[in-house]
Amino acid sequence: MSAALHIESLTASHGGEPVLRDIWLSVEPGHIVALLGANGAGKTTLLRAVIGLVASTGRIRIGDRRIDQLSPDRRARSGLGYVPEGRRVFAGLTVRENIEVAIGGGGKLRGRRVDEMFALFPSLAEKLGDRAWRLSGGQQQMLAIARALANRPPVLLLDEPSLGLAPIITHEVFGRLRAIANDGVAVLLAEQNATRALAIADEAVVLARGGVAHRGPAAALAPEAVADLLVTG
Amino acid sequence: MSRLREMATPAGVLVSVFILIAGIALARGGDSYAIRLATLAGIQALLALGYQMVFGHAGALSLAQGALFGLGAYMAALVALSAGGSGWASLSLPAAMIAPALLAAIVGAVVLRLETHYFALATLALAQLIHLGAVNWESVSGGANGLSGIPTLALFGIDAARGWPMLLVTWGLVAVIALDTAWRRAGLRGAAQDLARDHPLAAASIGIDVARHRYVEFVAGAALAGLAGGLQAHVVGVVSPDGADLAVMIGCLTAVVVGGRTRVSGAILGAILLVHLPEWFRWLENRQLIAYGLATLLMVVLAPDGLASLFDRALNVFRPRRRAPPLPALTPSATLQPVTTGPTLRARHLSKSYGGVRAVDNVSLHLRPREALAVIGPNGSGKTTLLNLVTGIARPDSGTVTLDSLSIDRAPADVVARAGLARSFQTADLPATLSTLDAVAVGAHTRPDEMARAVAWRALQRLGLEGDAATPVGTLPAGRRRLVEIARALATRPWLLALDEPAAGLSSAERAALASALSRLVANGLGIIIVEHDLDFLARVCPRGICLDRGRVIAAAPFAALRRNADVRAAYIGDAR
Repeated sequence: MSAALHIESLTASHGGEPVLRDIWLSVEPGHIVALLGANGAGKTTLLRAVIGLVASTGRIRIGDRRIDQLSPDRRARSGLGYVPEGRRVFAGLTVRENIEVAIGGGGKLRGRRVDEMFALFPSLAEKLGDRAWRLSGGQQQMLAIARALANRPPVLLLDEPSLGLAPIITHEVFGRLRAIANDGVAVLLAEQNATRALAIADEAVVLARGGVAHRGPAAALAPEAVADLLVTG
Repeated sequence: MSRLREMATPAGVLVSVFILIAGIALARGGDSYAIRLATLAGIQALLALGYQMVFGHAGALSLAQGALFGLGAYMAALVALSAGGSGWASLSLPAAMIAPALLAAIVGAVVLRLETHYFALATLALAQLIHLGAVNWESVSGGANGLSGIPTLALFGIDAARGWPMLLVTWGLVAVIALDTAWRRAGLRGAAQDLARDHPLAAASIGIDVARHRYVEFVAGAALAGLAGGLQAHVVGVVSPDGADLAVMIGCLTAVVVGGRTRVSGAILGAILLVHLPEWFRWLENRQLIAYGLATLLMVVLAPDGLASLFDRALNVFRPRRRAPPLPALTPSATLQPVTTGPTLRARHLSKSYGGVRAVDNVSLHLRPREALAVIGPNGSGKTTLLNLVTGIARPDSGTVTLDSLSIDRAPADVVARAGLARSFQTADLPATLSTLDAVAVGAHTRPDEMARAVAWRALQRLGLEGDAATPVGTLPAGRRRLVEIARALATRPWLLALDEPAAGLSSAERAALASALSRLVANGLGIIIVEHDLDFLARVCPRGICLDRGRVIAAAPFAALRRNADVRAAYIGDAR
């Protein structure tokens, strides 16, 4: 099952002040859209508005289905996978349990889905009985992604998955993201690490002060140009 | 003596006379039972006033207040019984106050550092210990039977007999304590206390010693509990372990919650209801408790802020509109910055780790008066941690921070603030109901109110906020509240100012205004260090800056050069080098 994510005229406020103004954005199945911008530009707020943790106005659709009136848990069940900033895995549960808790459905389905996730992240399969807190940062990040994907959602939202990871690990995690997208998932990737994100993305959207400062094919946007947008001004 | 003079305002005297009359009126009818009930209500009012200090003003949910009340009762009983008819009997009430206060002083030094629920549990354990002591230390406390035959209160040879004399003594004390509490909470002093309770970090950052405030209130509240207990012993004539058990505590908590957590009138009203409500439902016979419970529930639902707040709302109907606070008269000394040149802030080789992550790694910086330093860097690079280390909110694992020769790296935030280094936070923690002028004036809480308001007015002027002076700060938009918080930091009259994302949430016009306001402050001698993501904003204020990445300084340069620096650009786009 694949479907595109459509964000139409989304506006979100915090304490009466608009943080995001009139954002239009679509992610097609099989595509990765890199959401770039400095800290405070509104990347996290946009993801949180899509999943419903921040109040917003405007329309949000998955395929033809509008989800902007739903509560966050119903949105998640409607096909949104969300990986929040900071790898929030359940530290006391095992790797297998971390994935299983996310799956609605019977034991048979559960077993199949867990196997699919281990096929996608072979390094997790080796650790399936380990408690999550024993994993390295990169493995925890992959576990968080596996958990978000366990119900096979058509859309995956990721918030700064590279934060705190060594460059080589980031490279590995991002390689997996490309594979996930190639399977037909629509991926919206909020990242500060523009160099890495642009390397795997199809399209880039640069946010600045709550609005879209630039959008275009990722291949046409050099990291240096992002630095110009973000730093040099 | 100035304090007594200040308390003896006509309004204050009127209120205390009114409280006294209310106490007497409770005993209308004049039979001994009515007088006794009214006296007990006064004792409950004293207990509740003491509990308001702990629970209301310090925000500490203590569950030991009832046991401290019992301890006071035992102390008064023991002194009165052993003194016999001698002059030592006058010491019964002082002893009743001193013992719980001493105990609270010892215990409070340890447990007040605990978080809310752990503090509640620790005080509950203390209460259980006192209760156990009362039951088991039979040679002194009389065990489960308690002590009986306690004589009436004797003060310097004058006997305060049960009945009218004791009623007058009790309600006289209520009036005095109520007046004293009202005085201690008048104007900005109360506002500063509320800030310490609701936003301890923000309070510390403007120089309020939050720990000391909590400690003083806890000990004073214990002394009042003991006083109430002592009076009770003299009125009832017996003390038993029942007087120190949890039921007393629950009654006291109910009185304060029903009446109002912080209002003097609330404590008195809650106490009267606690004692008299069951009497009013007596005709219901065995359904009395149900009616009492329902009435209490109803009051909590209808007036969640306490019955005292209902009076305020009723009064506001008659008052057409709250007048704006009078604009303060500006005195020459109400300037924002000291005339002398301020100290230089120096941080040397600061490091701080959180759970294996080096948040700040060997960072050194300096900031002189008339300088503005920008701190930039990508998400998670350690900027806020650096500000916390410099302003005493977090302690460095290694490295030093000094203001000239004064070492501040181990100093708590309130000491750093009083040394002249103020700061603002990413979230504006302001008391919502205060006027903007008063919310800022709390920053100058060590001065008399009028002077503090004059300083606050200057601070508002500097940031172009004079128009909001009379507006309740809670009704301002989020961006404006951030500016008010900066004004409050300015009202501490700092030499140096540390700002954490001051431009977040501001409109572009407000950003421009803030940038020029900060530039003027720097030109007048203030030193400012700013953590901020809006680089264009920083470019307008800061001639130089440093860039952090993974806790380290990767570049330090004039700001324009910093933005062109290859390492800085690489850090912002996560270029793996």
